[in-house]
Amino acid sequence: MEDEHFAKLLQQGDKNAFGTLVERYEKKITRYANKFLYNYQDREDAVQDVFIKAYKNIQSFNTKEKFSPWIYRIAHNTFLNVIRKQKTEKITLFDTDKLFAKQLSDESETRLREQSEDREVLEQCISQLDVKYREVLVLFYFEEKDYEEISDIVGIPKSTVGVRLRRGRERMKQIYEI
Amino acid sequence: MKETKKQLNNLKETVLKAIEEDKVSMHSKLYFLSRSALWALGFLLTLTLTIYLISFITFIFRGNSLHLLPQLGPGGWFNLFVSLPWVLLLIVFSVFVLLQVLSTHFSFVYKRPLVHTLLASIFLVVIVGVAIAQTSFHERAYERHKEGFMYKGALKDKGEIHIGRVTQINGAGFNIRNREGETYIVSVTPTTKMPPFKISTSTIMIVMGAEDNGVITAVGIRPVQKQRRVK
Repeated sequence: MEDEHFAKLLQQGDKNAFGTLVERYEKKITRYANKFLYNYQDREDAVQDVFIKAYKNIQSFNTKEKFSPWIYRIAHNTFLNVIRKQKTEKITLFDTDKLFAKQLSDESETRLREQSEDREVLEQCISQLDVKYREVLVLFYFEEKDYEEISDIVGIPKSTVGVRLRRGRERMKQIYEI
Repeated sequence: MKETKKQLNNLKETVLKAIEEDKVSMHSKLYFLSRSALWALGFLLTLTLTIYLISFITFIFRGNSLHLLPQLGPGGWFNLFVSLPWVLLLIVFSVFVLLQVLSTHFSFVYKRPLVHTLLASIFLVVIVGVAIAQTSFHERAYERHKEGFMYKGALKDKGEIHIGRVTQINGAGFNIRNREGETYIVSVTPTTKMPPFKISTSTIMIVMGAEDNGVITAVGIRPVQKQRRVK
């Protein structure tokens, strides 16, 4: 059964359906929190908060769409709030990466994913990367989301996902070489 | 490994327990529908306000023949700069920024590069605003609310710019009657930038020059093509 089916059951009042969704996503969201909130103590609370918010807002979910980007988007916003509250890292509202368009080819996405050594490098320097690069790199390499899904989750254009992935990889290699 | 599994079980149990004990409640569909409707309403109102203000600025611009000023040389440019409705332009800019912020709620906006959405929205509000200014919408509103908050002083001579109908030609220049019904003597000097034809009575002119005791020493004179707002 697909996630969307359980989301629909939950919308109709079946609370057990939510148990299934929590089971399916708790590992993924916990892993995402562990990577994205690498330096933060409140990770467990944040993950719990994600599922509470998902339950509260399930009626806003369109069952014709995919459930995964929806819950990841809640997770992403919740984790950003954790970072904002602690004020240890800077999150910019406006970024020049969002300004211009660049057509992306599917080839570049596949090529990037095949570079498995990137994952190991990222693992080692993840805590030193800016939030805007960390969010796309974690989603791409660890959560294995494609450009379209990352665009949905982070709320940025697909072309910006590509730009941030490229710049993020360059940045992590610089950090790694130091 | 065991610890992680335990943590996960705890997570599921905690969340489900909170739901069972009604510590967490689900928002209704109506709540989200109302929220979306409010957001869409706010967006539409801001869009309408932006378009209205742009059309109003265009109306002021055309009504005061500000587009003719650059023809009068550097002084014309200076007067154009001074005569621009700066407060309104600042308000339009702020409302436009608000419009951009509100529009990021919609996926068709945030999924496109900012330059695309910015250019598309500027194009849309300017085209529609200018198109509305071409209709009689503001003219009728001006007639009805001449003394109202928005239109009071919208079509009024400002600074060194005077618009009026030529009522009499005399040796040293001519007389004009402006939109308020006041008559001024226009003094033409050898340095006055004149229009490329002979001035005759009943034509509407824009005169640039300082006014002193009812006499305008003309720096430049241009005809106003469209006869509007002149008694």
